[in-house]
Formats: sequence, structure tokens, C-alpha cells
Amino acid sequence: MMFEALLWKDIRIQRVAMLAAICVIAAPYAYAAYSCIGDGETVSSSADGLRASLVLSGRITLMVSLMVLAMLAGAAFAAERSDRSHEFLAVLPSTRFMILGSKALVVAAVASALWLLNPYVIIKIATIFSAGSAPSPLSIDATFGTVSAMALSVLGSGWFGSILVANPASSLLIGLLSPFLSLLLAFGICDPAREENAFRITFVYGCLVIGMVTLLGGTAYFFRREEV
Amino acid sequence: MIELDTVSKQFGQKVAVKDLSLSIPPGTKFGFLGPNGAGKTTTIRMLMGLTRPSSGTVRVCGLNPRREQRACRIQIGYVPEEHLAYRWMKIGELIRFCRAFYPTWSESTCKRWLAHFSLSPDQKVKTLSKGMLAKLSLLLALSHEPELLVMDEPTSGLDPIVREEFLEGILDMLCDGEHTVLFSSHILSDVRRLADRVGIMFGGQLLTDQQTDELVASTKRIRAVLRNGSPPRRQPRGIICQEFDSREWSLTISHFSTLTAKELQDAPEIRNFDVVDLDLEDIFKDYVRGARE
Repeated sequence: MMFEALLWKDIRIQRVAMLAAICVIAAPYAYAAYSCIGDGETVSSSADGLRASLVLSGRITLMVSLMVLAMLAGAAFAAERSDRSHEFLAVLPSTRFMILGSKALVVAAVASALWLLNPYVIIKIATIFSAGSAPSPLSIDATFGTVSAMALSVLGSGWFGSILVANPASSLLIGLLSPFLSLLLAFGICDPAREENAFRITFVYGCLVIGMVTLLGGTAYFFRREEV
Repeated sequence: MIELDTVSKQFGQKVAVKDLSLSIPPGTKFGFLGPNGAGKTTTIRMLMGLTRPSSGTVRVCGLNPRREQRACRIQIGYVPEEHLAYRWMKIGELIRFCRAFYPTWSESTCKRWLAHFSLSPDQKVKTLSKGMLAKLSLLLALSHEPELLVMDEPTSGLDPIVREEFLEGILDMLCDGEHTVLFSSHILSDVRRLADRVGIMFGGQLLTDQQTDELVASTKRIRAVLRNGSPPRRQPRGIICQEFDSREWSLTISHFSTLTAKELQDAPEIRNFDVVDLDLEDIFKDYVRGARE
């Protein structure tokens, strides 16, 4: 009952971010479908076109979903801290574990639902429409891995920022800037012109480390922080 | 109900509360008095388990408010100074949200307070005035029928009419049963009305802790005229504060008795003296003045 109430509250707090996320993520697919249907081409070329459009839309929305993740993680704690309603929550007979669990569940559920949709569309649905050309899964493996690492970095840093600051916009920014930190790190270690693969691996591992450290560090800090 | 044993709290170098020991039995209506920065809010936060004491032990309803936070808070109704509810919720939604946290929540009590304070469940919290927010805060604190009601300057900033309604609400609740109340306030008339026991804090220390009536009855101001301008060598016990103005000696004494009067009468340095009754406000001011000196 208590956890349900916390979930309801967190869903309401994230409602705007969730609606925005759905719109932003659906937009490229809607545009792809509209442009294919509006072409009036033959069935086979239209299927090829649709496949290409879906793959492109999936890639665009994969990148856009990073923004969505930053929004969700960034608003998790900072939204309540910005209007000081977290002080009201802090005096209710709840536990830190439940407060954190509810927020984590909402962010994880929404983020994974939205984020996994894109690889699914790219890999599965686009393959169905592929006529002669080779299916895309293999070609997108590297991109998918890199974007996954970036997603973890954005999510962790946004989460950490949200626990640290009282402004959701600031925590969103912290989340979005974190892959650039990893990029700087990779530039410092490798020369992308000569060691392309090493550069990419350094960037991916950098993102993973930043993501994990900020996610766990933020969570640990939340348990120690005196909220009022 | 509340046990504080040599509790201290430091924020960096600043000592907010120093060696505070206090025992409040069930059924007591305890008023915390003290100027800003005296340590009242820090003490209340430690009672609520919101702040960890630097040293000493805190027990509320027999529980450690930090370690047994949930069990402890279920038994406490808390009205903070700033009424920071979720502003985007409707009153009804906020009530449903809070109800989920308290197994002892009473729907009938909640409805009674809603009617008493003329609050509508359909109204958005953000549209409420400060007075209405204070009433909503009290409603939420009382609807789970707590054993202990803790209020941190709950009427601060309220207009006299809303303050009156708020106090009436508390008095109504007090009439209902054996509740323990701890509250801090700057409004001494409110404290006089509600508290059967008061504690005066200054600089993180508890200066006195007495039954309100006893405090008011036994604290007196003496206005003495000295023979040659110097006070008696053997000064009476329990001086709270004193000041000299030429040959006039004004002192406030706690636990004033006929024995004290006799001592003053027998002192050769004193030509004559008057005993003046004090109200709670004067007593509070003299305690703080004495502590500052």
C-alpha cells in the first residue's frame, strides 16, 4: 500500500517527462510511416523504403532516448527537491529504501520500455521488411553497444545529479554532459585517427565506468544524506 | 514518551544543541521556548529522526527515532514550521497518499477535521493560503491518531483569526484524550494557553524546564533599593538575571519563596524591596537576557 502510493506519486511526478518521451520517440517512426505511405511506390520498393526509414528512425530515436533517460533520471529526486516536497516525504513513516525503490522502478521501467523499443524495431521489424539487401542487426551491433554505454552514463549521471542538486534542468545537463567526459578521456588516451577501435573501446568503457560509479555513488549518497 | 539523555548536535564548529537532557512523560503538553537559533528546531528534528545527534541518546515512544524510524513516525503527528506538502496534488489526493503510510489512519477523524477546517478534498494544495496549509498540515498530523504530536512553530506567520482556529483545533484534540504534545513557539500567549510544562532554550542549552503554572508563580522580579550601591555579599539563590542602576538593584529569581523574601529582608545592604509578579513573556525574556550576560 505504501509502495503503491510512492509509485503513484513518482509516476505523477514523471508524467510530463513520460509524455514528452513518448512523443519524441514516436515522432521519427510516425514520420517514416507517413513518408512511405505518401510515396505511392511499388510494394517491394515501398517495403525497402519502409525498412530503411525504420532503421533510420530507430537510430535517431536511440540517440533521442538518451535525452529521455537524462530527463527521467534528472527529475527523479530533483523535481521534489526543487519545490521542497521532499521535506514533506522525509517525515512520513517510509524508508529510504522504499523511496529509492519506487523512483528506481519508475525510471527503469519507463526508460527500458522506451529504449528497448528502438533496437527491437531496428533488429526485428526492419528485418521483416528487408527484401534483398542484408539485414541490419550485424551492422548495428557496434552502434548499439556504444549507445548502450552512453545510455548508462547518462542515466547514472542524471540520477547522481538529481540526488545532488535541487534543479531538474541541472541534473539533466549533468546527465547529458557525461558522455562528453568519457569522450575527452578517450581523446586523452588514444588517437582516433590511428587507433579507431581502441578509441571506441576506451569511450565505451569510460561511459560504463562513469555510469556505474555515478549510479552507485548517487544511491549511496542518498542513503547518507539528511534530507531536511 | 520522550527521553533525551545528554544529547548534543554540532554542525561543523557550531554547537546547535549541547548536553540536552529532557524527560517528557505521556500526557504532557510541553512548550519549547527560545529565541531564533536556540536549538529548538534541531532538537525537534532529532526527535523526528531527521537529524542524527552528534552524541547522547534520543528515545521517542520507547524507540530510537533514527534506527526505528518507521515504527517511531507512525506514532508521531508532525506539524512543521513550513507546510511543504505536494502542491500539485488535490487535498483528497494528498490525504489518500498519506493514508497509505499509516496503519492507524482513521477515516472518521480525517473527515471530522476536514469539516472542522472547511477544507474541500477537490481543492488543489497550491491554491491554499498559508493558514489553510497550516490547517491541512494539522489535519494530516492528527488523522492517524498519533500518541505524540510534535509541532515546530506551527502558528508562525498566521493571522490572528487563523491562529485562533488552529489553536482551537489543537485544544479540541487535547480534549479528546491523553495525547502528548511537544511544540515550539515564539508566541508566548499560545504557549501559556496550551502548555502545562515549558522549557526555555538558549544557545543549545535548556535553561529551565518547569510546570508552566509553577514557573509563573515562583519566578519573581525583585526591585531593591541598596543602601550604598553595592549588592548583598550573600546573594539569594536562583538569580536568573540582574541589573544595577545606581542604587537600584533589579533581579529576577526562580523558585521565589518566603525564605528568599526573609533573606532579602535581613540583608543589611538592602534598604527596601518590592516583589513583582511576572508573566511568561517577562520570564522568557529574563532567562534569555540572563543567559546572554
